[in-house]
Order: sequence, then C-alpha cells, then structure tokens
Amino acid sequence: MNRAAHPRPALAILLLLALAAVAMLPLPAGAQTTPTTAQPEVTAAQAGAGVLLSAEDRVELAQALAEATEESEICFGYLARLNDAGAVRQDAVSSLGPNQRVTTNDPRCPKGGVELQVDVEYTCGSCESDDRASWGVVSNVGGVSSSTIRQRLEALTGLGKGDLLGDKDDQALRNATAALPLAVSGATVEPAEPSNAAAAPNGDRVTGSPGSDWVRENGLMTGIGALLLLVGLGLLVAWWISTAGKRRIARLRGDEPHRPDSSSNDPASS
Amino acid sequence: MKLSCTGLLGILVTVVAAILLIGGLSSCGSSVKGYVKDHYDRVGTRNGAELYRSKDRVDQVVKDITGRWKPADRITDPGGVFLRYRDTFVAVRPRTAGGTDIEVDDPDRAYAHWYPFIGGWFGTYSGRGEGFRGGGPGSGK
Repeated sequence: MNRAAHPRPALAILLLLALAAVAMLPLPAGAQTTPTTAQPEVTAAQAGAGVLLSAEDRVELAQALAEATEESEICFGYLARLNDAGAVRQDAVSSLGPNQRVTTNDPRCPKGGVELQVDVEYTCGSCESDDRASWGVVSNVGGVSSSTIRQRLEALTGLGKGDLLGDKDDQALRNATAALPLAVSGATVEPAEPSNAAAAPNGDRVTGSPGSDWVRENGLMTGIGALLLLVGLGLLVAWWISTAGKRRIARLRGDEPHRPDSSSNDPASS
Repeated sequence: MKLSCTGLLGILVTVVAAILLIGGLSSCGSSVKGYVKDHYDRVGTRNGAELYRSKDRVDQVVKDITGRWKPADRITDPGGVFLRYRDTFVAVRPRTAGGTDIEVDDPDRAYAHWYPFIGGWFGTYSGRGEGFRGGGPGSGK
C-alpha cells in the first residue's frame, strides 16, 4: 500500500472545507461584490465648513446619505454655490463624503444619482437689488423625473427660495438634501426608528416655545378678516351718515314731502 | 333708500370679512392631533405615542398635514420627517412594506425617543460630546 497516496483525498477534503469556510466568512468591505459607499471616516476639521452648513453638519449629513445609499444603491447630495457680492464660493456634500459631488456613471452609485443644486446670491449692502436664491434637482435615476423629485421635495420640506436666505438657511439646505431619498420612487430607505429612552441623554431637552398653532395657521386670515370688517363697517356707517344727512337737507329744503306720522289723527287716513 | 357706491363697497367688504373670519374661526378648538386622528387609521400606541397609518407616500402625507397645520419647525432625515407643533410632535416615516407610519407624541417625550434625529435642532444636544448645538424655534443658527 502506498502511504503517499492516502493523504491526497484527505488534503483535498481539507482544502475544500477551508475554501467553504472562507466563502462563508464576510468579505472585507473593499472586496464586496455589492457596490458600497464605504468611506474613510472624515472629521469635521477635514471636511471644513460649507457655504451654508457647518463642518459638523456636513459630516453628519454625508453619513446619513451614505446609509441611504447603502439601502437604495442611489447616490444623493447637494451642490451649493454662493455669490457673496461678487465673491463666488461653492461646496458639495454627497453620499460619497463631504466635498464630493454626486457623479454620473459612478460604480458606487449603480442605480444613479440625485443632486440638489442651490444658488444663493447676496448683493452688496448699498446695492438696490435684493438677495436671490434658487434651487433645482438633477437626477439620472430611472423611473422618476427631476421635476417629480422637486415637487416631492417641496412637499416634504416646504422649501421656498426665501428659506435659503433666512436665518435658518443651513437647516433648509440640510432638510432638502436629507429628504432626497424620500423623494425618489423605489428608493428603499430604512425608516427612522425611535428609541425607548424615557429621557434624552445628559439632561438634554427640547427648548423654545413655538407660538400657537392656530395663530400660525389662521392668524393672518383672521387678522385680515377683522381689519376688513372694520373697514366695511366704517364704509357702511359713512354711507348711512351721508344718506341721512342728504335726506335731512332735502327735508329742510322741502324737496322731500314730509311723511305724516301714522299715530297722528289725520282725518284723510281714517 | 338708494344704495351709493360707498354703501355697496361697505357691504362687499363686510361680506368678504365675514367669510374670512368664519373660515379662520371655524377651526378654533381643532388641532394637528385631531387632524391626524380624523384622516388616518389608528393602529395602536408605542411608548405612549399614538400610531397611525396611511397608504400614501411620505411626501403626500407630509403635504396633507402641513398644508392644514403649518408646523413651527421641521427636520427631515432620509428615514422620516419630524414636525414640531406647540404641544404636539409628529413623526412621519416610510413603511418598508409601502405606505407611511404617523406617530403623534408629546414634544418632551418625543425628544427622548427621536433624539438621534432631532437632537440639537429642537433642543439641546450633547450626543457627540461637542456640547450644545442649537436651540428651538427662534433661537437662530
């Protein structure tokens, strides 16, 4: 019996088992067949501040978008251009990281990309023209048009041009960009899950007190209504005074026949 | 008695004012909580919050709610939209199976439940150990 022949089947079995075990192990991120947006950790200092967003918010937004891209295989991001009285700056944040734009035909975005493009123009203090802002959506994702995404973004965020010029312009840009995954049909996103915590950590708490919901919703209409009511009643009183005055003058002049008092004893009426 | 232009205008303006006042005052006593209760299917409670459900997309539900009751503030996340009102907090989230979940809660309790998403935008935030990051409505950037 040739002893050297025995180890061959055993070695072959061991090799097969080893290969099977390796195949069952999770692949390293870089070797995964599914496209991923796995990116090196970028600190706020490395990311830097954007034209509207702080460095911390840019990093946080990029992470949230990257998670949405892992679910949907669609890349999301924004490009913000700011013209500050002639000095032009721009910045971008996307699923691919801070300072990275959504690019077409990127293997990391197999189902395409959606980019929110924001233009803000601050005019100089002495200029007559007002500050301006505009925004649009560019998408190459199949099954949904850029205009549909824009309409859905408006519904989700209430974004108007004025929002990009106000005190909360950073929140408006962040909200609109973070809403992109929700605005794309077929983009499977992981729903936000609440925690069971009874209180926020470290004593954090909700602050500020929003005004009355009713006043916010109906205050303007009711205020205008009340104002118009005063004007309308004023006009009616003016008309009544004017008419009564004319009748009195006419009566004094004798133009208008005096109406007999019905309570008086007029022989003709009896 | 002849009706002059002033009289006609007075009547017209008063009628318009009455329509506006009736429209505005008719919603007295109602709230966003009542709107959600009246328009969506209640499916239960979770951690004290009322849960409702809709077959519509998130954007449609948000449009319907905010179209009737304008929020004081809102935060959007890829996983949902969070609306803040005076005494109510509304979280609108997509359902994996389609449709939308709507959660109506008390603002303080909701701040604890949704802290990773709204922390720093509707209140104080120390989640990342970087200190305070915001305020509430009217607190500015």
